Amino acid sequence: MENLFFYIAAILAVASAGSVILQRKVMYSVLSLIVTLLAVAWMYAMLSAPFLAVVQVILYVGAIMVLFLFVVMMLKYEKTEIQRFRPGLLWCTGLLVAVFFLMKLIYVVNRASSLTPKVATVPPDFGSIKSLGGVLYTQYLLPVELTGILLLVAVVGVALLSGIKK
Amino acid sequence: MLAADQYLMVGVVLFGIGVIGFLTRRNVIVLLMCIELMINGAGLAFVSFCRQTGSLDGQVFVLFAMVIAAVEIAVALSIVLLVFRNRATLDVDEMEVLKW
Repeated sequence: MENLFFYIAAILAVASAGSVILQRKVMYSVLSLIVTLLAVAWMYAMLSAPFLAVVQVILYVGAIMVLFLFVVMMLKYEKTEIQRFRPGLLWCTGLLVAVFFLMKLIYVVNRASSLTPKVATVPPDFGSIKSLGGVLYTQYLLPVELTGILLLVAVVGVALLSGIKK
Repeated sequence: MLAADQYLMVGVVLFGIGVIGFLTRRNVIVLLMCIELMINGAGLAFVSFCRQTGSLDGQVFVLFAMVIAAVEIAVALSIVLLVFRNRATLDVDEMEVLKW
């Protein structure tokens, strides 16, 4: 049963990720990416990370992708890149490098995974808000504070960039 | 329980698709989405290693990565809007003011 759920999620994630880079209209890419993110959230939930799954849906699908949708709908960009598409030398090189990189990555990650010491089971509250918050506010307190400062800087920067005139 | 290795492979494939898209597409919004794909692939790898080793650190990293991705996209999209207002293009090949 769990196998079946995993394969559905995996096929959904990979197929819609392929669709993101193959669609010729940006709007379709954005909608495909939403499907990918939801499938990844599904896999987070199955990997005993329920809090991350919820945050993935709220933050990624609810905030970031809505931002993408707004920008895509705001910009009137008539020519699609496929209309002027010429697979030149640079494009082929890029594709070759990327495919080679993917092969190498699969090899390296396989090796790293076989070297990792594994535990059979995890405690039932693994990845819950309580356990994650406990780690977050003790061991990682300084990064949390710094993230707050980063968010503040981003808010100021975006307000400055998006044209508040003097 | 299914071996977490398979989740790891899905993460790697997502990352690879992101790299392929990043190196072959030219629309700047699609490039930003490919970055999101790569971040998610890395996140999936983090969480599956987490499940394998029984440690929570990876999940914390994924949480931080999500926040930083949100910040990055907010800033990047407002830069895209500015560039589009000034040069009326989304093609990275035509954004060449800093080239020389």
